[in-house]
Amino acid sequence: MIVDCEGLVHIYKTAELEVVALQGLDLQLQEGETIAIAGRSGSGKTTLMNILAGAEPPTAGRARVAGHDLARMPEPARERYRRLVVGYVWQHSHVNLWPELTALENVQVPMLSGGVPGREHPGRARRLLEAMGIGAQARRRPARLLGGENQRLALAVALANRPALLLADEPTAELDSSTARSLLADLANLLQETKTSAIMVTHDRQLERFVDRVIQIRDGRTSLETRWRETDAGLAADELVILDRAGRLQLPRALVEKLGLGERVRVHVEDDHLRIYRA
Amino acid sequence: MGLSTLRLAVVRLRHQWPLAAAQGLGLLAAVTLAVTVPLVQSIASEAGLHSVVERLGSKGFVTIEQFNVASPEQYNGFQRDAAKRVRAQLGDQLTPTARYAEGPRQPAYMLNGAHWTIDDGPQPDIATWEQLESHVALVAGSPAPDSIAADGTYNFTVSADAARDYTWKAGDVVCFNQPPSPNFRMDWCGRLTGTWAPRDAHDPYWSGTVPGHSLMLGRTSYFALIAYLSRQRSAGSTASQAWAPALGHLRAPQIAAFANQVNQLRGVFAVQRDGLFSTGIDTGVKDFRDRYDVASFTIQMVAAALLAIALYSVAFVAGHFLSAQAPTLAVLRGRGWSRRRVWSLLLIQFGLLAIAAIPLGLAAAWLLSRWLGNLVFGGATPNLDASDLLAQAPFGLLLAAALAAILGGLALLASRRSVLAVRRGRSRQAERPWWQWRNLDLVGAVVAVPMLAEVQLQGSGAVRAASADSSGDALNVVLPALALALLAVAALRLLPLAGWGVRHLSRGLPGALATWQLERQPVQHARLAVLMSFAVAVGLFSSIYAATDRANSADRAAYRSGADVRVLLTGFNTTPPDIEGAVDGLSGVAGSSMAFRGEGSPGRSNLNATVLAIDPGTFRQVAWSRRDLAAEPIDQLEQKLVDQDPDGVRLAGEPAQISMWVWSSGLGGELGVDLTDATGLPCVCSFGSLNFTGERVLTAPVSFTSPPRYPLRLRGFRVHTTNDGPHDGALAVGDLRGLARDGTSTVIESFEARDGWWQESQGPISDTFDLIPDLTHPLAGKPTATLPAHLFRGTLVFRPAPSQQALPALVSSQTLQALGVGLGQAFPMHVDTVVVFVLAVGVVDYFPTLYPGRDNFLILPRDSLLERLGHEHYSLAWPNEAWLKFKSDPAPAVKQLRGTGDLVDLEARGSLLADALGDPLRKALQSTLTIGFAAALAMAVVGFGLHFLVAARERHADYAILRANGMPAQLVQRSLGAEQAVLLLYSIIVGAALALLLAWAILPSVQVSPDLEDLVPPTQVHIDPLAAGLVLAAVLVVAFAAGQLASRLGGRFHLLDELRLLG
Repeated sequence: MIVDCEGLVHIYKTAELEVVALQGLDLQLQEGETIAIAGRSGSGKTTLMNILAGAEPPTAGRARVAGHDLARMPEPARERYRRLVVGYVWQHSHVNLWPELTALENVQVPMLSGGVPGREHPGRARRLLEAMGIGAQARRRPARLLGGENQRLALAVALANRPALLLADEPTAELDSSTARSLLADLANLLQETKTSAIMVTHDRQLERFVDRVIQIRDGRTSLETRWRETDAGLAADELVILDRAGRLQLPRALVEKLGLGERVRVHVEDDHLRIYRA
Repeated sequence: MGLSTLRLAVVRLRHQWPLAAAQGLGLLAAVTLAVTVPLVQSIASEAGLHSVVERLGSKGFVTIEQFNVASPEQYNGFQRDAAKRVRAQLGDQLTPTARYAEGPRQPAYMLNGAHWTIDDGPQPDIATWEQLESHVALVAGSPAPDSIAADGTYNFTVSADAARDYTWKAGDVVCFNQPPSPNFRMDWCGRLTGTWAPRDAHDPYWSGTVPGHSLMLGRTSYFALIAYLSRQRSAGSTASQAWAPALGHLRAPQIAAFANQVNQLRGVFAVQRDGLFSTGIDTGVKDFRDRYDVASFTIQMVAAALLAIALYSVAFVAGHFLSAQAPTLAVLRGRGWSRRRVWSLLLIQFGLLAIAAIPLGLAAAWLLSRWLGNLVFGGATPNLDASDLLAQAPFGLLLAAALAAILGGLALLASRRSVLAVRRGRSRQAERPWWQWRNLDLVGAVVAVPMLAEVQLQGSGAVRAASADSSGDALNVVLPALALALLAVAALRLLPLAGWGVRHLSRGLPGALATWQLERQPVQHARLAVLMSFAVAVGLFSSIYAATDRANSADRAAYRSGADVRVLLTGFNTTPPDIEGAVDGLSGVAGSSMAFRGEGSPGRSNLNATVLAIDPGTFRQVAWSRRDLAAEPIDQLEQKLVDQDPDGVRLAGEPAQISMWVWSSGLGGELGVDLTDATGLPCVCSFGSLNFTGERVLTAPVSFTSPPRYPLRLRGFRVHTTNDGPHDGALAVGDLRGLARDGTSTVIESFEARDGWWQESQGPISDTFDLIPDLTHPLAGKPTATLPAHLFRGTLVFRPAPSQQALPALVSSQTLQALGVGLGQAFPMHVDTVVVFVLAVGVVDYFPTLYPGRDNFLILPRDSLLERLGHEHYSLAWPNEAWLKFKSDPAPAVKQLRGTGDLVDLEARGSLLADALGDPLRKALQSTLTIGFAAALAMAVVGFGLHFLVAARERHADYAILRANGMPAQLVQRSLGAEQAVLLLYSIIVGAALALLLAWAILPSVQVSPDLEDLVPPTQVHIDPLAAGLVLAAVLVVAFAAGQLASRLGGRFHLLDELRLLG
């Protein structure tokens, strides 16, 4: 298992307020698996990504990535983790790139601290760019690349040090549909080739098709999970409510409202399932 | 193409070139300032040294003499050895000028075979000077062959001046040393072959004095003559070697060692060899060294403050430089770059900028200091060489360490910020700035006040300690800068008021927008506000310093001279100097006052005090004064000398004429009466000529130059010689009356009985007699006073008896303290053998020409003191100083006075002021301040522009939203302009307050000299409104222009791009 989060809690302070961003979130990710995380603004998606990126430790709970315990990691180890274990694509492509450098140089920036001999950097960077479909633009600066090309370049930069886990925050937010689809297809191939796991935050429904699972986060906890299964008619979404390790069940709000469930419900145990009634 | 950290650093610098350029300029300015200041100081010290050595004149030469050098061998041995020793000890710091030998004086007794003697003037001596021909031009005849003629005649030359004095001409044969007896023959004859004049009397060859009355012989002839003369008795030949200071090789830093080595040579030649070693150069340069040490402290104190500002500017720009890179650095950190690696990247960037800035800064400093050297010190400046630059290496290393610490520290802090910290920092509410943590800033301000007070104390303390120990100076040097920094930080508490100011000054949307910005983030401009306040403070302080220095230099020159010109004269033996005669012939004199300066000893104390006796009536019209010299105005104190003067005869009523019965033997003289009015104003009212025989009633109209204040006081009568009659005879006086305008008369003195009147001849043969009435020349059968009138002995004066009461005196507070005497107490004072009782009626802390700390002094009424001294047969009881005021340039008069035979000393205010203002050490401080202000202004302007460039860029998102909502782009510009205007206003107010505080604290203790003449009277702070206004206008205009330009550049953005970024 590449990612194993259990009971993840994170509280941060803003001005005079304490915000509980994650309230016991559970998340597991197998090696080579790609998932998307969805949720409303403020649901805790970015906080989760920051924790997984090693930017800050969780307040409580367990967070392990590729065997690294993110809750108990000193800063030097955290730096090494960020350098070698994860690759991050921030939401706006311009944040990820250095406008003064060419595409080829951009990809080499993370390599400068990656422990890879300097003479190998250009070759590796070039291969990555080609894999992302922008090999021809290697000598161009970001300002001379199209939006999609910049996003591809950002992904290439994130993958420069061959991370075990790719984290991407809204990677298609600035792209039109066709560009986004093309990019996601290329990315999926690359991830599959390099057996890299990935977690992508998205509001883009079309991205869901390119991942193994889509996990909804609500109020700092995982709530629903959508898996794809093969049917005769093609891929079909299989929506599951997540039961966490503490036995908590978070019903989708739409269902709660539709059934008029209040603060108390009756639970009946049947042979192999539960029934939930209004109290 | 491979990417390296170095390339990344280079590319990043290129990408953000405005910031990089600003950072580089900041470094450049700091390096330039830091190196220029000590270089200018170095130039100033060299120029000062040159000036001192040049002013030493003939005292600056080193002359080594060896007695009893009677043969060429001895002479050569001495010259060789002396040269070797001097070279070994002082290298090329001295240049040989002349080698010569001089023998005894040779009285002439025969000229061309006829008896002839020199009755008036010096007798010639014999001498031989090496290389004389190269330094003189023949006026007549030919050079003297170095041989003795067959008839035993020696050949010699003399100066044309000597030939003129002796009435010799080329070809004359002169014989010397008339033999007293046939057995004691030292006589010899010489032929004058030629006369010469020095090619240049100022040629160092002459060591300041051309041997005008020497018989110049060739060396062989000279020693042959010495050998001849020594047959009877030792001829006393002295060999000499003269050296002049080599200005090109004398360097100020080594001057103490130089003086020490000169002194060691003195030990060798004057002590061990019993010769003569004469020079004033070691003491002269030691005095200079003392002044240099004192000035250095002040200059270093100012330089430290300027350097602190330069370092702050560098830190300020670096803050922006790093802040602009924060998102990039955060991403690098997010990608796993270690702090150390990010730090390295930043250090490489700073290093690259430093590599460019340091050589440029050094070159700029070199050129700037050379330019300033030429501008300020003129041609007297020695050329700088690489060693001067190398000499600044320790200072440069210190600066480099400070810069490295500042930039390295800031880079370290920047490298620690993560992506989250950067993002949250931007969206987070404004927090309390760190310097206000637990009111740290206010505590700092409280600490700053005693620091400034300490600076005031240390200023004078430093002077006292300068010659002994300067180890404590390092801390003192940085105190003002530290205090200034603490106060500037505390003043940031007022910065939120800027928002309030904008709201009231700029109405409408731009004002509202600016107010919102200032109130939302009150500390966003804090660092800039400090920088601008510093720039204003430095500029204003510089202008205040310049005005203060100018005004106080003028005051000190005036204090030293006392008036426009002051001359001290002395007579020959007991002859009074012709002081009035010397003054009468001068042109442009607007007023004069004669004074007496002497020494006195109060009581039986061991204290010696200067006694300055003045004539208050005229003194106040010509003497310089300032309100703070004493607790009471000097004028009022001087009036006390008049009011409480017990001597003379007070005249009742308001007499318009004085009448007196006079019998004269037909003297060639003019009789006058000395009167003073109630303010001390004198009037010598004339009775007219005494060239009549018999008796007359003479009247003298009382006519003062301005209407007198009554009562009048009669001080005595004087008879000046005239050429219309004999200067020896007799005079009888009686029935002295004051006549009022209405015709009524009042008897002042009948002279019928002896009541203490006495007469005195003021001249080479001074005599005094009491006036004894008798019937030799009766007036209506009653006695009159008959005076022997020996006018050839000098002016005849006769006066009433001195009073038994004490004379009023103004006494220096220090003297009173030393004597243990209080105000209103009388005590005896010994002037020579005369005892005069004085009464302290006023206290003066300072009085022109007198220096507390060096002089104890008393100011007395002149006439009464001199009368009492004269009455007690004191031989020099007459005015010996003239205080002169001029209505036009006194230079011609000064020149004329310098030719006066009786002149002892002359002080001209204009020359003293010119000397003071031309003092290289003073100029060094002014230059330092000017450079500092220029650098501070440049850095402030760069900082101001940079700050608003960055601020405008950082606000793109805000402005994009406003623009999207319809606000025109000009409003953004105007709102930034409003912020800039208010910030500048804040800076001017705070900077001006800091400058005034600093001026108050530092200027009274700023000293460029330990000499009392440069310290007294105490410093008064002066502000030149025009200069101050120009400084403020310069800061205001240049900074605002830079701010506007920057905000225009920074405020440009592509609206759609920004909106897209906002999502």
